[in-house]
Amino acid sequence: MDIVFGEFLGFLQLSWQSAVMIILAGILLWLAIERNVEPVLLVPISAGCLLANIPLSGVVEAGGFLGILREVGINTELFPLLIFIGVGAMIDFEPFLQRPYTIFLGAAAQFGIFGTFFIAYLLGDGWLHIMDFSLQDAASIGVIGSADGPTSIYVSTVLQSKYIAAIVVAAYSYMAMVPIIQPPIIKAMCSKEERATEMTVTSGTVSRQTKILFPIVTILVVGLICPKATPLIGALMFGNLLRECGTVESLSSTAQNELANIVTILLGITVGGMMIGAEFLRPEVILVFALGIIAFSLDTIAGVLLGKLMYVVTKKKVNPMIGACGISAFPMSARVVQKLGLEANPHNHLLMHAAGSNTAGQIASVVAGGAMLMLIPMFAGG
Amino acid sequence: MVDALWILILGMAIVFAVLAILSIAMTLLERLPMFRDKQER
Repeated sequence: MDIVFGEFLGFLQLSWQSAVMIILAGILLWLAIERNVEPVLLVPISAGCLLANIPLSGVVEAGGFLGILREVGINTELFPLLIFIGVGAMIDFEPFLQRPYTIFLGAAAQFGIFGTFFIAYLLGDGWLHIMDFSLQDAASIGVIGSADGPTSIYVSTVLQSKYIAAIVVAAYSYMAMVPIIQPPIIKAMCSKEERATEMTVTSGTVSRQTKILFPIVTILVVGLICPKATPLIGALMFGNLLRECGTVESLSSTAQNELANIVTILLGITVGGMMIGAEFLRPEVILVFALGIIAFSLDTIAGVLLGKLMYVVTKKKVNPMIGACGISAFPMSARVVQKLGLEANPHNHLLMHAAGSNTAGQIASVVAGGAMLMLIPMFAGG
Repeated sequence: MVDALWILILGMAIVFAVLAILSIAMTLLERLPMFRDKQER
């Protein structure tokens, strides 16, 4: 009997790409456990990455454990939508509803999505042909700038991008790095006087009816104008309706805790399972990560620029830094601005204003994702 | 390349338009008497 050991001994089939990915999984686990960097996401992602790169295990193939999860959760776009129900139930939109003008800061900060798309497409099929980036790939890479994992997954899945794993990992990694990416840009763009600008505390609360109507009106407005955004905005606002209606406390609590946690585990390990060495270690993937930083930077620059315009128009009543929170990345971005505000002026409490812009950015990023899904098929001829 | 530029311009226009309408809708809703009454109380 001939025994071919290479057919059932995994280490004999271990490629250098798989070995590198196993080491990468180890580094991610170390960051999550020892350094406490986004452990809720990084532990499942690195576990998935580790499993996916064990040769001959079959876990990522059709019928394998992670293959099935990818088929039912990612390819059907189900996991990002379920996560959004949890996210919607966690977000209090009151800071935004008290300051409706912040919605424009959220809109401006979406320039990172479209600007990065433009750059990626020029590097790919649009002009230089240096990288294998189609219109769909460029759009999916641009959506890293939504600073929003579920939106990135949803858009890149619908557009069937080749780089979905890299896009998702980049989106989640850079969200954790917002406190590192944003401060230098904000400081370079805003003088100390601008950063020290105090904003008046908004008095009064938003009525319960308004809070209940907000998710319904948002679904109608966004859905009727930009229907491709309906699944995302629908899931987000459904979660928020559970929170605000006040009659389904148990459902709201389940969405915020059990549902969000279960789907985070499944989504994380599935995304990690997409980090297969032979597919992941390519020059294009490195460029996807570089473009991700550009997306976050452009988001911040565009938001701050509109903030500076508001600063001038309102005669120094708006601190331009809150424009940076339009990036979404809730709530890290608001915390960054609050910290920078206090550094420039110990009496400067910007958190609620920043949170308004931050939650506006959450809605704006979903609309931008929907706009991308609407525009790409039109221009791709599909 | 021109297509990409159009997508950039139209994309930002859609985002601003949708959010402006949402902002107007919410502001109008806040001004309805039924809401103001509740808030005053």
